[in-house]
Amino acid sequence: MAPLVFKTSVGSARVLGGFDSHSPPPFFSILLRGFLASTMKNPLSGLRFLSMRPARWSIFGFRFVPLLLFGVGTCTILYGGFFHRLPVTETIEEEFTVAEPVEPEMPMGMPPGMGPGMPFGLPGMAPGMPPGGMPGMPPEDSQPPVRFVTKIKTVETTANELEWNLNVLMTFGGIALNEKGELVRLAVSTEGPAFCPT
Amino acid sequence: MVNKNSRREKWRLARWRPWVQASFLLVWLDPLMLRWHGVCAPVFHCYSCPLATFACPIGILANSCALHIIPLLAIGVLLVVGSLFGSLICGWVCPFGFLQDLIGKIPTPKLRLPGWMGWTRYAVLVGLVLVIPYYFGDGNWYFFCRLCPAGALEASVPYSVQQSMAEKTIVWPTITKSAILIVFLLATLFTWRPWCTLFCPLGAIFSLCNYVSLVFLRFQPSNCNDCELCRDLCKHRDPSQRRGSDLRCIRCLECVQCNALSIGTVFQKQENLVEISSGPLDES
Repeated sequence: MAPLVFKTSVGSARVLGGFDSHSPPPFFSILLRGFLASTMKNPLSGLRFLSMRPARWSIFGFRFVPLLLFGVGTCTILYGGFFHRLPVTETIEEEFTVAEPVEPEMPMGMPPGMGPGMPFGLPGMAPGMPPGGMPGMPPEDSQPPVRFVTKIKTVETTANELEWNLNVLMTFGGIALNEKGELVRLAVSTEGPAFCPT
Repeated sequence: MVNKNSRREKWRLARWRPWVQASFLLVWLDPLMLRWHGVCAPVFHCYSCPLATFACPIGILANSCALHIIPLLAIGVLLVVGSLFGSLICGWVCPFGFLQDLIGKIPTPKLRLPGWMGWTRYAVLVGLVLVIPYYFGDGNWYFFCRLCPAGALEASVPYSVQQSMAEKTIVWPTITKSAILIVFLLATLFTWRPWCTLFCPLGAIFSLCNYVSLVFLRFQPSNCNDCELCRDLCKHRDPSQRRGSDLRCIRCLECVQCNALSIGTVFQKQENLVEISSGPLDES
């Protein structure tokens, strides 16, 4: 049976259900209808109408994905609970301050207690000497002068102790981030609920 | 006759749910005063509760984001439990869901919320649990634990009572937290499980696992006669939504009174391919 052919206003042939020879193919309409058809599902079975996936792949997926997630979760627990517990020693440099005695600077060429600026050649007094003290002798009760020196020593520590506490023991009270972005243990843990800040 | 018997067995299964929830309540609210806070429980129960046995996974996630570390144990527990049961935990095990179920038994008119409102849980999960704690720390006002009604009910209230009995200075919860708790308790009277439906970040995680869990609701189209019984039995979805597992399903198993729906595992032998594919509905 021959198809119905119409003549358009410009004289071209047009077939019902076909394309107009003077118009571009309706790509957008084809894509839209194809997308809708491929995503539509049967409301009863839940299957896509145009699903091209073999059924056994779906069966494998239904069984494999839960097992995969279960395996990943188990490995995560094992990693967090066991390997994270292993102590990893780390050397860090700690600063500490000590007090060192300072040797007083003595003026050269003069006896102890004699200052260069005393009038009439009188002997000067040492700083802090009480009145009546012996010239040239340090005061009896004076402490030797000290200065504070910052030193650095290398110590070994457990690197992942805080992470272990956080992951396993969940001791949230007393652990915080400092301004450098490092986990530190607070000196004084606050009382009250740790998870429930009011 | 066979269908009637199987239907009766399914009905018995649904009737066990409150008893199972009450039994698990004894696990989460430890009467033996065991404190296993090193273990993360897969339920929404505040770690700060004086009777809490285990740690809260959402609290761990939020605090870990604030500290910029990865909570390996909490993620592992959520993956394992989610891959096994999906949101069956929400319907049968969670103590906070049990509380809402109990309050929901008060005979008041109940409103069914539209289905799209279930997506707000993911906004809560991403925003309040992950992003805001990560960038602003736990001192921010929108830190999840500062807003959590479970924390207010299970921790703030008991601690306030404890402090008042010990004649100490009472640290009251914030106005925001108290207001959220009151609104939540009032909403529980007028809709089914408002926290689980709208805001629960743990339910959001488990409902994602509904599509890939070993245990799932199977829909058998050969047994369906379009009686709409399954949709009428479901309290947590609006009737226009499809059957079986979806994001808002808490697997309370009320709907399995319908013969077309049954609870099963992915390893059960299937009669035909259509039945298998009708379990986890998403094939893409």
